[in-house]
Amino acid sequence: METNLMALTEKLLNHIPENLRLNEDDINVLNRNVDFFISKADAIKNDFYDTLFSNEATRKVFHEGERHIREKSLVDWVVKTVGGKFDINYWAWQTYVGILHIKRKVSNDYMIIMMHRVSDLVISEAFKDLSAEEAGKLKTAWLKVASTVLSLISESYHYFYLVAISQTTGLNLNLLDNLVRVEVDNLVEANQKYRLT
Amino acid sequence: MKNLTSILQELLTETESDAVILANSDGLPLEAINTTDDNRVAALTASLQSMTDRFVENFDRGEADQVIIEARDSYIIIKRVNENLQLMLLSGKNSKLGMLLLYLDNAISRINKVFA
Repeated sequence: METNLMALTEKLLNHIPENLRLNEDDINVLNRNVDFFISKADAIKNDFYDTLFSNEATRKVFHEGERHIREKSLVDWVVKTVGGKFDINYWAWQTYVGILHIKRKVSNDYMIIMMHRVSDLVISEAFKDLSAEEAGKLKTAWLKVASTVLSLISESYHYFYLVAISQTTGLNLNLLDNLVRVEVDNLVEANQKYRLT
Repeated sequence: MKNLTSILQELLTETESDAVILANSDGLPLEAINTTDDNRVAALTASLQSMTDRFVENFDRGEADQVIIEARDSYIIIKRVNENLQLMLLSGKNSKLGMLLLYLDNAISRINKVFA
């Protein structure tokens, strides 16, 4: 198993079926709508952090007084994302966020729910402000970006969680995989009652 | 492998032990006698060896050649065979530890010849 972040990023990007990958047309749509995203930046960041801070479980992730720093990070991410080239360095940055999420205890369930929230806002605002054709193209492009980012962050979170255990204990990643294999059948069996028949 | 089976069987007989397993560093069993769940025991054997190595390394004291666990009525000994293999022997508490280690060393030497 690979422990290099850039190699992991490339491997994960290669997992995405060709027709679901961001293409040149998608990048052009995003790049030409940077102003649209900038005009929505305040709405996005306010909605995002109002939601997180209104929920006790998600509020606990944040340190005292750091909301404005996180808001700036979100706006920077949106602007850099839609105005960017989507090269390997950009995607590696998303993979790196997975490691930061381990450190900050931002679990994947929160991350997925909030990415969906941002996507919902972006798409609904696009259909209000842009032509239906442009909004449709933007929706397609944005959802490709969002799902790629989700896949990189969530897999990176899972993967580097294992890497941290491996490096602390000396158990190599193949051994960890085998430890999981010897127990997974028991877990499936113990939870059979939840299977829909 | 026939050679490995006979080496482990002889080790078991000579030491009057209860179970033995040869596992690789990824926790996969190469040969096992009397272990009820080979995959689990092999994975745990490799884990104990790896964690002990990391623990010893933490004190800058080289590698751990063996792990000896004294259970209420058993000894469990894990010995490194080579960089990629470890041998686990489960024996009753009435066994002489020195003899167990001697026979284990002999078995390890023979196993290494199989892979030479």
